[in-house]
Amino acid sequence: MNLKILNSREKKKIAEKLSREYGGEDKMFGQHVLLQSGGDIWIVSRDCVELDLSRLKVDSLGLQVLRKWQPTIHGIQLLLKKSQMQELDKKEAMEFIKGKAVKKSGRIMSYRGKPIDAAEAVTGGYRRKKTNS
Amino acid sequence: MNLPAGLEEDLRILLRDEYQEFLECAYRPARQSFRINTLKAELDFPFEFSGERIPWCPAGHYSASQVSDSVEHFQGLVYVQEAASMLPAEALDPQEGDTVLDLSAAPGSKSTHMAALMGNGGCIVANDVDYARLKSLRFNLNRMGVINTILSWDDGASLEPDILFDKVLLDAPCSNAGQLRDNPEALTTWSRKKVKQSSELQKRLIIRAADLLKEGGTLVYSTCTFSPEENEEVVDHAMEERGLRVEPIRGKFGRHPGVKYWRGREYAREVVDTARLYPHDNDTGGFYVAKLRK
Repeated sequence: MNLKILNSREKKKIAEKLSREYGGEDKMFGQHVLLQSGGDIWIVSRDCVELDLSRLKVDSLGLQVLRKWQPTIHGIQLLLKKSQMQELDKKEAMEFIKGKAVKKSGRIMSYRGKPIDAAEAVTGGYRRKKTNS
Repeated sequence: MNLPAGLEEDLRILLRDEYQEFLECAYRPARQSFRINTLKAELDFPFEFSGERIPWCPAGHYSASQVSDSVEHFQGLVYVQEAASMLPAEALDPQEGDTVLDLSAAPGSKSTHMAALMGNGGCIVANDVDYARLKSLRFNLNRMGVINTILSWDDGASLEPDILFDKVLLDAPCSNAGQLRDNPEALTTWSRKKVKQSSELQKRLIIRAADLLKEGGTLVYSTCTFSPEENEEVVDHAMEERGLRVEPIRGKFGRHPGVKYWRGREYAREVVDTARLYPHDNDTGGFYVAKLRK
């Protein structure tokens, strides 16, 4: 797999896209590096990218934050914690995690102020978005 | 729970008049514990299931109730981890700009701990030889929101990455006798043959770990077992073959010193500065930790 390191302009474009869709900060990626292969994006610490990895049998690196241009659950939990979230109570949060619809509406559901996952509208409410995580 | 005959014999020698106290503790189920993932939650985040703090790990708590089926666990805010096993990463004390190797990393309790201590800065190479366990490692790293780690799938004893590391953690495969409280099935596979085989592998791994360390770098070696063949003998081997020096481990935990003599062998004097944790020392599982410098 060929991975491209995104420059600051390309990083900003992705951050703006996520911000428009979910809220959150334009500077969500900080000083970290984004690697791209098609519609898949990984975030990696700068120090990892600066190492010579040629003699390592690398299985993976960093954290995949977009898969086919959709945020992964781990990307949402890491990057979108300052976005607009719909707070669920404990019972709702457990139902939401299990894939059931909750009556509250929102793009991202949270529990105790921390993101759980992205949501999509279905009959009866909102449930976890199928993000291929 | 019946201890294998050979293990009981060894423990009676190691513990002497503390053997009964050890047994009474070993028969009790281990206390559940977890570590707050500071990449996603604050140290003072009020978890419902928090119990008393673990003295040697600022992010560690005993738990008052079930953690693994909680929403917070799903969110990656906590990692269920045995209390004694929180010691190696604290002893290694990786810093934000460090390059760190976790030579036998799966399923990831120590890699994720180190990533949190490093604030997701620097770089960790997390290696494991077992692909099924590597998948668990990858999942746990993702769940914890770790971005400063490269996953490597390779035999740790022959790893040749062309990188020298500031710090190396080797939490070595072992005979697992220290898991007797929360995983008594581990005792069914204990044998003197397994101890010998584990010791041979551990010696190869620690030499590789030492060779991948920068001059002045720190290596922490740990196991969850009691046999000196897998603990002090391996440390002694690294000292003899690669000139590493033992450093004392600071921290608020009860411990026994490393043993200098075992079954006709004498180890380097400094092994007494390594730490044996028996269950009754801190009401945990069994563990061994050594800190070495190159």
